[in-house]
Amino acid sequence: MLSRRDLFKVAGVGAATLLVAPGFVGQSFAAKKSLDDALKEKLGITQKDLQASELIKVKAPTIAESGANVPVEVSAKIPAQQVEALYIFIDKNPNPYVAQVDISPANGEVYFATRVKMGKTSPVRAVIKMKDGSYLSAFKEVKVTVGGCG
Amino acid sequence: MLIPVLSLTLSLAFGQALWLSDFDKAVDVAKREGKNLMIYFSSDHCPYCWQMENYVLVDPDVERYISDKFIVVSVDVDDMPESLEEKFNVFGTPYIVFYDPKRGKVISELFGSREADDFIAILKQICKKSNLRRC
Amino acid sequence: MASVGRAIVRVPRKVSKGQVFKVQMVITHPMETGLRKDKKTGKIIPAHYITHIDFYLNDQLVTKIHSSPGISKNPYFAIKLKAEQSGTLKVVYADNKGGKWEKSVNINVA
Repeated sequence: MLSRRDLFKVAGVGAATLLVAPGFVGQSFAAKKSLDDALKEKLGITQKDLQASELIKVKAPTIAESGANVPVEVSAKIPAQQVEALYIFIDKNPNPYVAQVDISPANGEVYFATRVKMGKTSPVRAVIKMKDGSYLSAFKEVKVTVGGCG
Repeated sequence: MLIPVLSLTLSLAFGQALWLSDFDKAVDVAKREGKNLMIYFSSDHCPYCWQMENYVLVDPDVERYISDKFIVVSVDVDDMPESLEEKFNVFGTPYIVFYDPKRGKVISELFGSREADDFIAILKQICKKSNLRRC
Repeated sequence: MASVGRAIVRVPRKVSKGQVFKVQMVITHPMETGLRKDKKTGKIIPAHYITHIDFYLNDQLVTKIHSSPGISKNPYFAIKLKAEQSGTLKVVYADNKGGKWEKSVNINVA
C-alpha cells in the first residue's frame, strides 16, 4: 500500500496512474481539423504539396511538461526577397493553424519566434510560401507529457 | 415528470456537459437525470489541469460523451469545501472521482491528465462499471 | 486583466548599418480560444485573442503577423529587421473584440 507521501513522489514523476483503463476508441473527430484541412483553408494546398527543406530550422523543446507555453523559433537560410510568408502549424492540434508572418526584404533574414499552445504530442511545423509558388516545410516533434501535480 | 425532461434538454441542447460547482446540487440533478457524477478536482497552478481543461474536457467527442452520461462537478482544490475534503482523498491534481449518486458510492478514481482518446476509453469503462443501463 | 493590450517592444540600443537585428515583443493578453469553460460556472469563456501585429519602419509596413488563439497567453513574438537608417519602429496590433493599440520605439543606426 502506498502512503500519502509515496503518492506525492509518484505524482512528481508525471505519469502516475491510479486507474489504467486501456481500451479501444473508434471515434471520429469530425469537429476537429486535420493538418490537410488547415493547409487547404489557409493555402489551398495539402501535405503532398509541401517540399521538405533542410534550409529551414525549427527550434522547439523535445519534451514539454505543458502545452500551455511552448517556445518555437523558425529560421531559414533563404533570402527574404524570395519569400512571401512563413506559417506555423501544429499538426495534431484541434485547429493546426497557429500563425502567418508576411515577410518582406526589410526583414533581412527569414526569422520568426513565438510561444504556442499544444493539445498533445505533435510535430511543430514551419511552412514557407515562396514567391515562385512552391512551399517548403520542416518540423520538430514536441512531446507533451501527461501526468499530474502532487 | 416535467422537471427531469427540462433539465435533460438543458444540458443536451447545447451539446455541452452540465458543469456545476455545488456537490449536493449536482447529486440531485444527477439522480433526476439518471446520470453519474464526474467530480473534477483541479488547481490553477497545475499545467496538467490546463491541458485537461483546454484540450481534453472540451474535446467534442469527450464533451458529447460526458454530456450524455455524467454531470460534472468542478472543484478548485485551493478553494475546496471541507465536506468534500473529508469525503474524498484528493492528493494531487487533476484528480477525477466518478461517483454513483444513487448509491452514494465512488465508482472509480483517476489521477493525472490523459489525452482525449485515452480519456474516452476510460469514461466508457467507468460507464460499464456503473449501474447505468445505457453504456 | 485591466492591463490587456499593454506591450513591451525590445530592440538593441544601437545597431550598425546593414546589421540584421531582433525585435522582441510581449503583449499582456488572455488569448482565450473560445473553447475553455469557466470552472466555476461551467460557461464557455468567449474567444478573445490578438488577431494581427503590424510593424512599420519609418511608416512603411515591413512585417505583418497574423495571430490566432493557438498562440499562448501573454503572447511573445520576435522578428528580424535589417538596419538601413535611424528612425521609428511603430507596432500596431489589435484583437478580435475591437481592441487596438500601438507602441513605438526608436531605432538608432550608427
